[in-house]
Amino acid sequence: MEKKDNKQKQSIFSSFGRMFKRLFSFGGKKKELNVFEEEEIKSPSKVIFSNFIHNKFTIIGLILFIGIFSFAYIGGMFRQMDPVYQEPILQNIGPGTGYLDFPSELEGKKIVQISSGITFSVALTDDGKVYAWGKDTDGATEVPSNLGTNVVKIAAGDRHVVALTDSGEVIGWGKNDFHQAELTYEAKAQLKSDEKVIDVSASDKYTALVTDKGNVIILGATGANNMDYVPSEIQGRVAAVDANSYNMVLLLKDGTIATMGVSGNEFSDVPKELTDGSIKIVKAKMSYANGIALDDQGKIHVWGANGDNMRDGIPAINEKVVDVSGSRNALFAVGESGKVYAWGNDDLNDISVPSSATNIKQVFSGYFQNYAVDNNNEIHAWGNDGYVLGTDAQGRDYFTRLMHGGRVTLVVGIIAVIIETVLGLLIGMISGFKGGKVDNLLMRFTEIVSSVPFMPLVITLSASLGNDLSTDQKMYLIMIILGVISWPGMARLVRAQILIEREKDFVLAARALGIKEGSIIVRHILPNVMNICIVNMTLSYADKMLMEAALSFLGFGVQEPMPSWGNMLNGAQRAIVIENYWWQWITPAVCVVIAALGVNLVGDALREALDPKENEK
Amino acid sequence: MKKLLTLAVAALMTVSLAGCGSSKAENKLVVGQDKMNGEFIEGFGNNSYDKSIRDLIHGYNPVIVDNDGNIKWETKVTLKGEPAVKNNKDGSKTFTVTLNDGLKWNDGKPVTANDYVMTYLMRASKSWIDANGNPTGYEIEGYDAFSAGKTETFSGVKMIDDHSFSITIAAKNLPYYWEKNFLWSYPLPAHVVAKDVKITSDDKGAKIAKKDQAAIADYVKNTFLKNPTVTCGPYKFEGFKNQQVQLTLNKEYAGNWEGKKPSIEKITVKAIDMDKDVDTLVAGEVDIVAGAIEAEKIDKVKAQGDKFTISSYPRNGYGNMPISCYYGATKDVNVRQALAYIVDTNKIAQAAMGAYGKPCYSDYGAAQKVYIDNKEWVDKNLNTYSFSIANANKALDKSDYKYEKDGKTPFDAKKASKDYLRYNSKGEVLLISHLGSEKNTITDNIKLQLTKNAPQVGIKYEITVKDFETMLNIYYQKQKAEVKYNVYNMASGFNEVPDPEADYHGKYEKVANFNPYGLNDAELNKAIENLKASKDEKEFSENWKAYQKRWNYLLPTIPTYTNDYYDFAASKVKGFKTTPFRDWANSICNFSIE
Amino acid sequence: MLRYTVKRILSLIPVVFIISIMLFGLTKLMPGDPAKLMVQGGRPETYDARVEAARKSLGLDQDVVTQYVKWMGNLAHGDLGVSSTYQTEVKNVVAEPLKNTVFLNFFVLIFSLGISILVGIRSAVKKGSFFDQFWQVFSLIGMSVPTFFVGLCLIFIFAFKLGWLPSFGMPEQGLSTGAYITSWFRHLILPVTTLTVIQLAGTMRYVRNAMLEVLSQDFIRTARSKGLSQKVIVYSHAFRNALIPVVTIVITQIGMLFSGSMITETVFQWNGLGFILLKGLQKRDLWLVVSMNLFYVVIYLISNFIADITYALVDPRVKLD
Repeated sequence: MEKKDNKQKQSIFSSFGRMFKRLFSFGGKKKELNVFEEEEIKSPSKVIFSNFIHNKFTIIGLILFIGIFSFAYIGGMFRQMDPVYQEPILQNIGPGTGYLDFPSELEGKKIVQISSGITFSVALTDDGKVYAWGKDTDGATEVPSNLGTNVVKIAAGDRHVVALTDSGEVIGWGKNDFHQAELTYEAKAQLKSDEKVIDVSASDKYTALVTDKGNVIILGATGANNMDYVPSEIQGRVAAVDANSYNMVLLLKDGTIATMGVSGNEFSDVPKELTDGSIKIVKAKMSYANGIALDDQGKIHVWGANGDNMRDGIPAINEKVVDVSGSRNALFAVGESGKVYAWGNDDLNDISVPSSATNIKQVFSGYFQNYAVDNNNEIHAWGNDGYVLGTDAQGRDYFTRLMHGGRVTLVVGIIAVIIETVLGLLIGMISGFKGGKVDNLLMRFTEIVSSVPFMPLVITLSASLGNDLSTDQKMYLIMIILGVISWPGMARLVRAQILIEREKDFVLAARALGIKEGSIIVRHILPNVMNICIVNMTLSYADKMLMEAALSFLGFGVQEPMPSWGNMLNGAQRAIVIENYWWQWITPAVCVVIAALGVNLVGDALREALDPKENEK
Repeated sequence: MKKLLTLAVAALMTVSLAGCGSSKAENKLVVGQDKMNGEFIEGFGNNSYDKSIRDLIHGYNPVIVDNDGNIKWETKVTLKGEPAVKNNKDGSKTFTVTLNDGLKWNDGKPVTANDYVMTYLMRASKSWIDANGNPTGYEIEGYDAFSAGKTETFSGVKMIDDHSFSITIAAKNLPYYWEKNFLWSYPLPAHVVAKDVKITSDDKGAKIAKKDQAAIADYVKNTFLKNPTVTCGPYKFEGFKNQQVQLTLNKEYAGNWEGKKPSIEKITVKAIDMDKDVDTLVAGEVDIVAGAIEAEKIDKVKAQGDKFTISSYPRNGYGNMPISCYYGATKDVNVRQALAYIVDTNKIAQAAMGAYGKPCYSDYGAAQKVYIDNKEWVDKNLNTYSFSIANANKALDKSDYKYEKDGKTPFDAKKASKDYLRYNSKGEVLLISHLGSEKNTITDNIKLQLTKNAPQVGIKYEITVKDFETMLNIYYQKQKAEVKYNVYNMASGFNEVPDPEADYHGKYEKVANFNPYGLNDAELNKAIENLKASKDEKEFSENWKAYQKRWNYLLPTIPTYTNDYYDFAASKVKGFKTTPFRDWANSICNFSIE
Repeated sequence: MLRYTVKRILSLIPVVFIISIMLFGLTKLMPGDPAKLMVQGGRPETYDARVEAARKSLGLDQDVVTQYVKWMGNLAHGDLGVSSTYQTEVKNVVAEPLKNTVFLNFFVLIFSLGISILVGIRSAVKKGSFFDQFWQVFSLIGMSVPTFFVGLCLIFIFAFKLGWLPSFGMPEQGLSTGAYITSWFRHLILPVTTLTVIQLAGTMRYVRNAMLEVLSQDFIRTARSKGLSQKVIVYSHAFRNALIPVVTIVITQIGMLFSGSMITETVFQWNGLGFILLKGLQKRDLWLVVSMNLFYVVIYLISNFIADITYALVDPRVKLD
């Protein structure tokens, strides 16, 4: 019926159907065989193997499984994972790379400024034009078309950009949830009639403006960073500003340094010589917790925290420094010779300055993207180029976690299956061969274990035994629990198979011939039992992986920060994740499905290959 | 096969369309909140979602909390003028309360002083505790004798006539800044829960027979608790089934503390999945969702434009990391301070709630009037413990943990790493064990952060994760065998009586469930006592500063962040406005459906 | 037959007994004192008395053996103990969820069975056809997909994107009868679909294999050679015989269904047994957890037992002794 319809219609569906059929048809096309080939005797194992290998399901299954296996294992070898890595500002970023791929139009043009947000960068050329590239978040790379060519300064915040024109106009675009990208009425009210904005810098959801009267005006969110409090003693003295997440470094008109934002941290503890006027500073920049200042003698001064060797790791600079810059986690200095000195954290290639970067005159760095411009106006870029599969809620690379999570899920399944098989085989064999009272007792025992519902039991066990364990130990516990309570099925199968085999004619014949019982067991019965075992193992492996996923989904499985495909799916309980961060639930789910499907296909094909009835023509 | 499929699809369409077609014109409100336990009488359980139902069905409380969090007498509807206060010679204080005329239960029967007195007696009785109720009336004269069952007379409670009764607060509990709150009580209907019970009252106090006490407690626990149909609040309880509570307007209700009466005819309060609460709201399945804090949820509702009304207010509490001040290295205040220095609270707040997080430095709620009045003082005078490895090392150098492994060589902070840790003079390593709860973003964050930061100051930091209930058990019980944790992570909130005694006073140092920090500091104890005994707002404010200053130094808890709560309502709900002290249930009389 | 039945029932008793001890011990192993969890807030001075009262009301003031014996004794009277979370008897707590779970699974069973019989027979008859292979692939994928993923996808598509159906929860109360029934069905569609897809995958293969087995037997060949029509052969001769294993698997499935819908109930916030049990586990609700687990066990054992008996009744070849 179906076939006829398809032929008549000749639709796309029918051709797709044929393709589908070809893809999945059992055993391939049967060839015509001549009589010799027909009569050729093959050993059973050869038949099984050839059946197995000629089944398209097998091939697909093997490809799927080997693919996913090498993804987790070989891929994981190339991409190291730091499970406790955390960069909240990069959380939940969608898949995409090319953060550093600046447009070719920029080449040869004179760059005035480059500023970077978390995933994008904007550049300003000397003809007043603004270019944007990288991954768009909330329209930050969509430069407004009405933007004239009179832009003199630009600043990129985490997800917004603010441009300053020569007339002091402030134009912003991108994320504006806290009004960080617009000069609100309240902010305008702070400007005196003849006051003009001359400098701008932006960071996490806020923008700092400096006026020609030396005042600071803050736009955007100030709840977390305390920026709404501008010390009265610096108001009116500010020349330039560099903003970071929770602090800002202010260069005052008299060449000293002041800070704003969260107080009491190491950054806000500026060395005395930078504040008392004994050293004249010409440029001041900052990273997350460090400040770097360049004085008029070409010497740099670094203060703040010493994490990532920010202070102890300053390279020896035996020349005059002409420019300084700070990204989120690294600091940079440019020497007279055009050499770039970089130090700090290298998690996102922050300090991996390309060797081609010579004769540099200036370095621009934002959050995680850095650009050096050389004397020929060529741009050299380094830093974070993006994420193939985005990031998770902690800002960790999802692709890497997916690989390492796969390792956990695959291993948990394998160990559980091994435990299950060993127990099942042992109990099934004892039961099958011994018979009688032992058999009866063991079967009752099997009944007891199998009658307790699986999911509630696993959860109860995991809750009662797993409480004092570390993350690693808990993972082992899950393996053991999964293995220990799923053996009854295997034991029953093994026992039943032994009973069947024992009654078979060839076994009776062997016995009649006086062959020893041990030899019968090893030569005739065990191989058949093993067959059943292998098939069951394969199918059970797929089951175990699904089980691990389900357990972790409910929160009883493998614990964070160790990833597993199951606990990576945990976030999918939140509607926000389902709706907005598809990569965080579809990708691990697809991995589980591929792995389980691959194993199921192989298992299914194995069963068919081992089943003599399937050989019927 | 195809027919079947077509049929199924057709059925699906009909059913889904039929659902969409249900009339929305009804004067009905659907509220979504987390799961309820179904204990709708004050004194049972601690489920805060049961509480919103309680606030809807119970009423005529002599005491109310106004919008600023002040405790006041409810003289608009419930009381006939302020209670008469008499200072007795023995130092006790008697409040004589007179009820207004015309107050009725929802079955039309009058509300009398007998109802209030019965409620007081019931909740102080031994039978009540035996029925697993949480007793009240501890502060009232004669509580000990009555609740122990030594006498059938509660000497501090007296019925004067049908409309007035008096409560005498024992001298040992006075003076108390929040003394009005001693009279906080939702009455229960005596004609229902104590049908054939006779309560007598004379100069010695109100009296109730023991068997009657037992009968009342039994009836309330087994029948009334789950099905309190006769009450006197703005709404009448109709039923609780499948995690949904049905309520209808109480026509007999005389009004709330502002004299307002509710206008919405029917309310359904249903349990929803809090991970999907905002989506349920946007999909139109519920009209009100309260208490969102995550940036994503807030942004999602904001993006809907004027389809929803948003009401936001500062959270009256803060997220924190409580520290055991009685165990291990954290006995030393310097170690506690060092821990505070190595927690980058900014990052934690950023990760958990984006730019909606705010810093918090001490034991206060951003909504408290005393904090709002003293905000500048707080910013200037309290240590913010901003993230600083150097300061943490400085603090630790003041403790005994300033040596290398041999307990003699001074520790060199520059070399600090996983393999170079701090030891004390006895050669014990500086080990901090942290217990966090599962499936908690804050735990995840702390785990990530401290694993990295702690070795930088020579601290060995171990984090165990257990499920929330187990963690609570260990935290509150201070169980001896299981105490091997220095730090936890939780969130705490303040109610209208922010009395810190039970949490921080030294007299509860060893009492399970209270003062979980095991803190006993003479100066703080004194500060708490002064705070409690404050006579007026001005004195309270001064005492509060002294308390905060000491607390901020002792640091029994590292405050990590605070934030704003966001309540959302469909725009058809008019007058939607909530405050830190008046949630949607308490503001129900202001709402109407268009 | 009778002898077998009696023997089976007798052999069940020690099994239930051992399992009850096992479950009781396991639940007791869970850390956390349910009595203490019941008592929170209030005055410090009254704390001890309250914990004592809570312990007494839960029957935890006695030693473990007495607790167990009492529990078993009460079970005989249908008394399952007191839930610490809900402060009421366990049977009151589980009554509503039990109804909901049965209701949910009833539909799942109807649909999964109906579809798998239809599809399974056709697949077996047209072995190797596009139809067969399509459903084979479907069932393989169905067996490889985590249940909750199917549920989440359905929620995403039908509730969030299309807005046709409620995303989760129970039907609304307090509606007119017609609207109430509609509401029931609207809330049922997604969880039933989820569970059906998962169930279908397994049952369908089972039906297909059973059919194939029967179709390859001699009496079918005989029927064919007699010239009986395909329809008669398939539906009258073959299916009747294939029904035997199918019936047994269905009965066994009923036993598993109660516990199997736990994840689906969690995803859809369906107020069923699994949902209640999960919450009980989190809250250390001793009697709730242990009674419900035992209930699952008993259901499973009974269904297994019935399956065995049925097998013997419908298949004369099976001898029981």
